[in-house]
Amino acid sequence: MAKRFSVILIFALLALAIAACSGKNGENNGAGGGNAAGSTNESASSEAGSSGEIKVGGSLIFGVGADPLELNPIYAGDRVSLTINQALFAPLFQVNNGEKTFYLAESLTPSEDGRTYTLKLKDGLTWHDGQPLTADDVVFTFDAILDEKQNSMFRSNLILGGEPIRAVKVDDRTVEFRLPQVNPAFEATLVQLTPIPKHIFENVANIEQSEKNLYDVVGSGPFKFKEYKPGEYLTLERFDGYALGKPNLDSITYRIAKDSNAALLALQNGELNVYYVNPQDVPTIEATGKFEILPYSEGRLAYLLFNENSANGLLAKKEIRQAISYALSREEMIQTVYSSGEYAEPAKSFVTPDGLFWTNDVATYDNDVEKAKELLAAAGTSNPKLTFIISSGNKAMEAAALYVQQKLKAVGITVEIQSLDASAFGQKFADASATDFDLAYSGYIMGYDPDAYRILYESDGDANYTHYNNPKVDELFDQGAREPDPEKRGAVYQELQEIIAEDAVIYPVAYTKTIVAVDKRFGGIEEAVLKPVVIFEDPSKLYLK
Amino acid sequence: MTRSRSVIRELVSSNMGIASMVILSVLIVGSALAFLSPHDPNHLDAARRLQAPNAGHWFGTDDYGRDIFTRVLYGGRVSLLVGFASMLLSMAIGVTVGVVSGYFGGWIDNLLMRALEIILSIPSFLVILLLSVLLKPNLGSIVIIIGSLMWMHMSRIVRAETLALREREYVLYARASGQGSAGIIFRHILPGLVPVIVVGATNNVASSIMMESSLSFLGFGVQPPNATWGSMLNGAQGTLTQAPYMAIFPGALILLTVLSFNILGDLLRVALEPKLGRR
Amino acid sequence: MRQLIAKRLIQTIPLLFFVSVVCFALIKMAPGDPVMSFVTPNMHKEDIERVRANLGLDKPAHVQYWLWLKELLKGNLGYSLVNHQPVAKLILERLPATAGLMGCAILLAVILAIPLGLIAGAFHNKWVDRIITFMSYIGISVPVFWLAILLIYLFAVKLDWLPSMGMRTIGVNSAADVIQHGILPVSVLAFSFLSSYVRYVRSSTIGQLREDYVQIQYAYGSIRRVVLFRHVLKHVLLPIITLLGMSLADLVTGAIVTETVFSWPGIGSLGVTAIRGMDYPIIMGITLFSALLLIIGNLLADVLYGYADPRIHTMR
Repeated sequence: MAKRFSVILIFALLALAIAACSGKNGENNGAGGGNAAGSTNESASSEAGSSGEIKVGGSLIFGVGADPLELNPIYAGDRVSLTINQALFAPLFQVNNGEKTFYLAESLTPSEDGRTYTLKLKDGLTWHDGQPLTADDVVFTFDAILDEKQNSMFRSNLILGGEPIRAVKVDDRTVEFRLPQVNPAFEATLVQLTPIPKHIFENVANIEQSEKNLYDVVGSGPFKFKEYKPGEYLTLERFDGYALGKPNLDSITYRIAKDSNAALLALQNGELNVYYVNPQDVPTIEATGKFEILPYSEGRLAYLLFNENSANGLLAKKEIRQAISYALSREEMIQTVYSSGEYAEPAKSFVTPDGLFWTNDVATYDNDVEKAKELLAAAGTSNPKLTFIISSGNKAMEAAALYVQQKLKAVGITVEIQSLDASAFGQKFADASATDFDLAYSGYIMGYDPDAYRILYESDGDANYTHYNNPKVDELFDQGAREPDPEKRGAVYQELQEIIAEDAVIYPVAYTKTIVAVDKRFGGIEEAVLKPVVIFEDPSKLYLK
Repeated sequence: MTRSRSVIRELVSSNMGIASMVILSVLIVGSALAFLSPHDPNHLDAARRLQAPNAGHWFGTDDYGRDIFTRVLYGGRVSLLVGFASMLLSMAIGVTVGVVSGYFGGWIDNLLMRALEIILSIPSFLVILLLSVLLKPNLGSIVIIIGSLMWMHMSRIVRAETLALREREYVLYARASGQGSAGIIFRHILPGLVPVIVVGATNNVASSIMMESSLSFLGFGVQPPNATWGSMLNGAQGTLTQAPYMAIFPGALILLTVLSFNILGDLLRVALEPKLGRR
Repeated sequence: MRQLIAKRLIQTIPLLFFVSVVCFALIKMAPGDPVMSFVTPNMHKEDIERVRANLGLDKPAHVQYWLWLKELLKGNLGYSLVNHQPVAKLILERLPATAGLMGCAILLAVILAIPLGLIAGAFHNKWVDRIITFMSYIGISVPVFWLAILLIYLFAVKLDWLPSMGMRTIGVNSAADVIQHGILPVSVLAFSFLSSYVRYVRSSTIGQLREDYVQIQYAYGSIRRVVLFRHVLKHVLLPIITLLGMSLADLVTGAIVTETVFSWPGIGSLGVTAIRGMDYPIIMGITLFSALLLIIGNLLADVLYGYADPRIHTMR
């Protein structure tokens, strides 16, 4: 009997011990590791940084909602991988408000005819393992993305009019990109092209399945891979050879907290230093007094979608869409969903404020219950019922749905809320043939060029979730894409914004801000540049105060 | 004395039994009378978010400004309803399968028991999660999901009892005198199964309520705006430091309800199976 | 006995096959697309379609199943659709975390349940018994996640004695750290198991104490404690052992809710994420693994039972 017990005992303790000691063997010379979460006994090395008062050292902990999927930039599409990659890999250059900041690249020169771009890399660049970073790596990355067998998601971005762009090495630091046709948007494409190391991947048959995408990742960014414990955390440590200069922090850890409620608690408890927070949770976090609440513009529009394809044919009628819009109050909705106007500006146009030719000066139907009832009566519907789909767990969608349900009830429309599992929601939302839902609360970030919006509003657009069909709109988008004169272009997009607002294609709600809570003990946030999706553009600038 | 009278006597003689019945009655009546509350359980009021319990809101308000007390009452309705409905469904399936399997034996028994094994081999929680993704998220689906996972245990017990009952003299006599199977089952077997069924049903309600609250907590169960005790706990972890009462009340009610059913179930078992003596 | 074992082992294969078919069917019937987890809305449709085709998701369901089965027969559990890592590796990586958690909880529960149950049974209806019984009622009626949240509030937030999430502190690789993180989750689970084990032991004890052999022992003058621990214990262990055998599969999937609340990196959370993302190779892998454990566990329980109690040999 005692024997039996001891066997079970040994087994259980063994299992726990294995769990304690296991963890991928990615431990490079463990210098400086082991800093406990958020405690104040940071590493003592206080060599002053370049600005005299910035301490070098310290450890920052981000909370992320899932394990990273692929830390290889030619595959990374999920938010967590993209965020971590921002620290692991350096891009060629980045663009903010029209201004270029160069990282790995030194210059980018387009030719006169716009069909060739010459990229020059900085001198003396190396990868985390010491190998030199050269034009070979850039060309290799380019070719890998184009290689159909390697299955990169970005392939189509490098194909113009059916022809691939070609990357040619001119010398160790120079690469020439030859385009099959003129494309001003190529610069934006290059912003997303982050080189991967040729010497690691050149003989790998299937890059996608390589273990090097999650362990011992070799990059060129300010922080290099230290260790990854799946489901728990991933730690990076400082890379002294970074192109823009030695980073301040000793290490950055991404702690995996799948349950947002648990993560919020951990944030308040000091076990996380940086985390996205919902507007509703801001008061809770502010109350601790330990965090800076940083809202920043995402270039995002949050809107109520009207599915014109829905089986009951209600939303295909402009009057009904107008009526619904009148029944809602934008101000009130913003208060309910975002709990404060600070985090969301009222939106009237389908373009976002950072977009070229944006104007909020368009027709809007808002907050007039009597008008709403009038229009509904005129349309002659009796007992209208609408289905509102939301993604389970998404607080903003839930709040919006509840609000809409309450307001529409007051004008006689019954709204049924259907909560779907996240991936089921994504599928249904994007399903062009879905006829069983009417409303959804969604958002998009399309970038600064208004041509990007055509896939949403053109009748045959890939992302035309409203199934709006207006030949005039199609014509205008076409015109805008080809018009070289900025003034004429501006007029085109002005008209587009007016028409779409007139037609109540969607009910634009707000230009939302992302909110990140950062532990007050860390500085350098402005220099690191807050950016959508990845939080910080250049984590090397962060430091512990 | 008749069985029902001895059952009642048994229940009343235990302190815990009385307490359980009182609690359950209060909960059931409270849920039924939920409409008497001046607050609308789904009314969003951003200005009144996260208030601690006060005179106007006995249990405080949640992160959308809704009155927690009222939501708890309405939530109780849903939780209890789902619990009972699931129990009925799983009892219906479980008893049928158990009786058929036990009475007829042979290949029917074999087939049913093998099928049972297969279903039981799949980790139940995974099945529940898969099913809840598969079916439309309304109350009916939840009942189906929970009900269809709880019947297996019941059918095993019923089968065992049926096997025993089948050999009783009066049954053998009925068969010998040419009575049809259906008649025998309804007239002799089923009545003999009543103790097992009643006890099983009580425990079943407890498990169903527990399961529903776990599912709703994980976000797979009953959907907004309907409240159930489990879904109310869903957001409670995040607001723990600011509003711990959001977590305390719904959970305490789940505990009280399940506890009462479990206690009653045990007492009923004692009352209905006198051969086993006091436990 | 040997015949029984052999028969059951042979039945395992078709059983597992049916399990995999049912599971796969459920997955395919559910709406949801694994590709959505890693696609950004800015990607072109052709790219998304190409990725989908590469993962074989455009083929009909039975073809996908057949391909999966073929790989399985070669010993390959496949690759995650979402991060392309081998399923076997993903599962084995997280197994120690869950097994350790459940193992410790069950162990703790058993070690405490036996003396508590014996005492409760021996002092039937006295104060000790009433307290133990009441606590065990609470234990089987309390929602695990609620208890977990309350304990986190008390120990992590208010008292700050214990961490609120995860299995270890970042960068620390000591067993002591893991144990500190494990105290809360293990306690929560153990309390729940303990309560149902105690009830078993208690009622078994009460039953046993009425048996003839006990009366005889008393007649010969043995004191209660000796009687309890030397004789009754043996008989009481039997149902416990069968219970444990049947809990073998729980080592894998028994802690889903707890793992969510504590962000414990185990198989439960792997499974929930996989289901949310419709990542079927992982779901199938976990299902098969746990089904196998269930079958083995049941077999073990039956064998031990039959071995320990020679009266039970009239099994079909």
